[in-house]
Amino acid sequence: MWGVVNLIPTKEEWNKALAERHGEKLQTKFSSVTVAICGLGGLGSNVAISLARAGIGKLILIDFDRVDITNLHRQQYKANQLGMNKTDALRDNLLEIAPYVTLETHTICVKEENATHLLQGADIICEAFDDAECKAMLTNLVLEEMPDKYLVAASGMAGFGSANSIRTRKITSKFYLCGDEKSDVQSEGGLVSSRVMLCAAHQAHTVLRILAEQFET
Amino acid sequence: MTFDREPDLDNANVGMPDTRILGITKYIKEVTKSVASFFVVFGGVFMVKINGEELNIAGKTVAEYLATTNYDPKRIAVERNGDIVPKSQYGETVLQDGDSVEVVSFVGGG
Repeated sequence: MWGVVNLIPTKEEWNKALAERHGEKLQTKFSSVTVAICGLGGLGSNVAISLARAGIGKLILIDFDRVDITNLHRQQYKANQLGMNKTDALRDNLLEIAPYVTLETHTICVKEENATHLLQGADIICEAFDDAECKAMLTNLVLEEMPDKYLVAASGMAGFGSANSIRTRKITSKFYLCGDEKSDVQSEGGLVSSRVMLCAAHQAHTVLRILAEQFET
Repeated sequence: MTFDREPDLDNANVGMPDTRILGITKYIKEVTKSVASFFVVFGGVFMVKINGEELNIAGKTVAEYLATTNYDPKRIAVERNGDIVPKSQYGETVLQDGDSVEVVSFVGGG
């Protein structure tokens, strides 16, 4: 009887179920791409889970930080993962959810000097940092030096503001920006899990729409 | 038709101004003025659109424009006519008539 609990679907069963949801052609595309997620906090951990569930082939997960008790209200970690590297904790969680996703993890701070090397294998890059200067640095770097890649960034999701003010805008043909572009964590007094998840969902959805060649917001 | 003497064309209008010609000249002047002001006001040929607002700053560089604003240079990305402006080129990129620019200013949280 307990054996039933441990029975996970085969890779073939898994892919078949996804193809039935998304269509064979689109699912083949999802499974062939690599998405990099820079920052594994409230945005990045939620983006990663959405994309792994959707059957994205490979995720590159990058964060220098460890799981802290102040993260647990909005980030996809568990109480028993406190102190772990976020990369390791998220890898464990993702593989429980979507056992056939390919993961590459880097426990490192993304900087101008290493970003090109870290992100070279990605087709689409999600900017999911919490620091505004880091967000701007990565945005400029990707758009200047990696013009073939798509960038899906986020700005403005702190506080209890309306869910409806979180939106996605297309800034250039390769640059999408999610959030209300206003609600700063400094002035809003913190992040609320549901609103951060909304913004992460915008980012993940934008990634899937780009792959489905739905380029307009 | 014959003339007793050659008509004095140089002085043909002396004492009786041709109101038709004056009217046409005035009309052409007015039309020229209207067309010019149409381009100034509506054509945007002297204006740069920044974050949706028309500003009379053509000829300034991106760096010169940013210096007149409260943007934190470490938190922004600048898009011009569909392309990102490299940070190293803010000082050299001259805003042209009709340019469309967007300054994206990031806020913290994630």
